[in-house]
Amino acid sequence: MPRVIPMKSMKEPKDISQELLLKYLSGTASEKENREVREWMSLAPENRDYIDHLQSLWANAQSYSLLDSIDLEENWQAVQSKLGKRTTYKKQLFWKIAATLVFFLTAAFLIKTFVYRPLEWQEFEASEQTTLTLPDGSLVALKAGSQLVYPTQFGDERRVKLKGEAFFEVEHNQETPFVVEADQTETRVLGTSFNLRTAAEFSSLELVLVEGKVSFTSPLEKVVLEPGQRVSLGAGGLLEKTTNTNPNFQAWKTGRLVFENTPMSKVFQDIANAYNTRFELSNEAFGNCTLTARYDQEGLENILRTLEILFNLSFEDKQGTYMVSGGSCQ
Amino acid sequence: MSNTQDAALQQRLAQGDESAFREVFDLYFKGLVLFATKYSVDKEAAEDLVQDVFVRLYEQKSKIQFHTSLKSFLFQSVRNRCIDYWRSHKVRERHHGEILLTTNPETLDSQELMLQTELEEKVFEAIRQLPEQCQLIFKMNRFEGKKNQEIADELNISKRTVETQISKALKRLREEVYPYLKAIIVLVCWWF
Repeated sequence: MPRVIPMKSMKEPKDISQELLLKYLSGTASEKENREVREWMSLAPENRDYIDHLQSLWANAQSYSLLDSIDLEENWQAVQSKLGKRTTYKKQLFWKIAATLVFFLTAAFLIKTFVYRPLEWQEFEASEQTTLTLPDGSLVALKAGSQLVYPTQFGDERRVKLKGEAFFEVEHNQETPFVVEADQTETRVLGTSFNLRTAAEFSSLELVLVEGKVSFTSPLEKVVLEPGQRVSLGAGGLLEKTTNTNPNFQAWKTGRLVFENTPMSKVFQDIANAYNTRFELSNEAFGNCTLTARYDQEGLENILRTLEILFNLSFEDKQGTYMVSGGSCQ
Repeated sequence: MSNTQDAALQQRLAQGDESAFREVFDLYFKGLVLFATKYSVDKEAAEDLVQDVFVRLYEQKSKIQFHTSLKSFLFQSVRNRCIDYWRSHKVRERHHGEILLTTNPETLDSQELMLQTELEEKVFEAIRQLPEQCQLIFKMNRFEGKKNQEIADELNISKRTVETQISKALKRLREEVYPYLKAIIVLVCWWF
C-alpha cells in the first residue's frame, strides 16, 4: 500500500504557485520550472512533505492499475447472484408460509363445515296431527297442539325438543344417538319407536317404548326401558317404571280406542288424551262403571253419542271441557 | 457526481427504479473497491465486501434513510465493513500466532481517503479516455515504471514516438484533471 500522508497536517504553501506544482507533478514543467520546484523543496522539510503528498495523490500507480483491473461486469454478476440467492430463499419462505396458511385455512373451513356446523333450529307447531320427517329420515307423529324443535341438519347427535305428545320412529344409527329433550328429561335412543308425552295441565309426562331400547333421564334419575314398558313422572318428581297396560297410549295417533272392562274414569282419561279435551264427572260413582268397546277412527262426536245411549249420559261443552251428568251402569 | 444527480438517483432508487441501481453500481463500484483497499483490505476481499454493500443497498433501498447522501452512505458502509473485516482478520491472524502490523482502520481519516479515492478515479478516467496507443504507453511508463527506451523496444516504435505520446497523455491529463486537482487542493487546504 502506498503511504498516505494525511492532508490534515498540510498547510498550503504561500511561496510557490499551485500551477507550478501541478506542472511539476504531471511532468509537463520545463527544466527551469523543475529546478525552481526542487529549490523550493530543499528550503524546508514541510515543503518536501507537501510535494510527497501531492505525488502520492497524483502518481499512485497502484491505484490506477487496481481501478483498471476491476471487472465491473463480473462484479455486477456477483451482486446479482448474491441477490438471487437471497430472493430465492425469501421466495421459498414466502411459499412455505403461504402453503401453511392455505392448509390451515382449508382445514378450518372443512372442520367448520362438516364438524362444527352451527345448528339451525326450526320450530314446528302442529295445528292438527302431523307426521314430520326429520333430516335423518326418522318419523315423528305430532299430536295436534304439540310442538317440536329440531335442526335443519343433525350434527354429531340427533337432538330434538318436544312439548306435547309425539310418537317417534327413529332411524337406526349406531354412531349418532337420537335425543329427545322434554320437560328437563332426556330420552336417548339409538333406533327405536316410542311414544313420549310431556306434562300438561291434565296429564303427566309419560314415555311408552314400543320397540328397541331407550334410556330416559330426568334431572334426578335414569332408567332404561325395554319394549312394552312405560315410565312416568310420579309424585315428588320420581320416575315410575311399569309395564304398559294401556293399549290406548297411541290413540291420539291411530284414532283407535280399545276398552275391556275399563272403568269409566279411565275411559274418559283415554278419550280426553286422544282428542285433546277434558271431562268432568258430576256423578263420582259413575266412574266405577266399566266399558267394553272398540272405536276405530270414529271421531269424538260419535263416541260421545254412543256413550250417551249406553249410559244415559248428557254432555255439555263448557269451553273445551265436557261436563258429564247423569249416568248409570248398564 | 453532483449532489443533485446523487439526490435524483437516490429518489429513483427509493421508488424501485431498477435501472437506477445499475447506474449507482456503475458509478460507485470501482471507487468503493479502491477506497476499501486503502483500509489494508486486499482486492478480492474488497470486491466481495463492496458487493455486499450493494446487495444491502438493493434490499433496503426503499427503507434506507440517507442522512446525508447516497455517496456518503456507500462510503460509510464500506468503511464500516472494512473495520469489521480488519477486526475479524486480526483475530484470525492472532489465532495463527502472528502479529499483525496494519494500522487500525478506525484511526484513519475516512474523509481524506474518500477525497483521495475520488481524485485517483478522476485521473484514471482521464487516462482511460486517451487514444489506445497513447494509453498503453502511458500505462507502461507510469504504472509499470518502464523507461521510454524499454517501451519503445517492446512496442517496436521509436523512443521519440514514446516521448511524444507520453507528453500528449500528460497534456490531456493536465487539461482534464488540473481544474479538479486544483479544486481539491484548495478545498482541503482551506479546511485546515
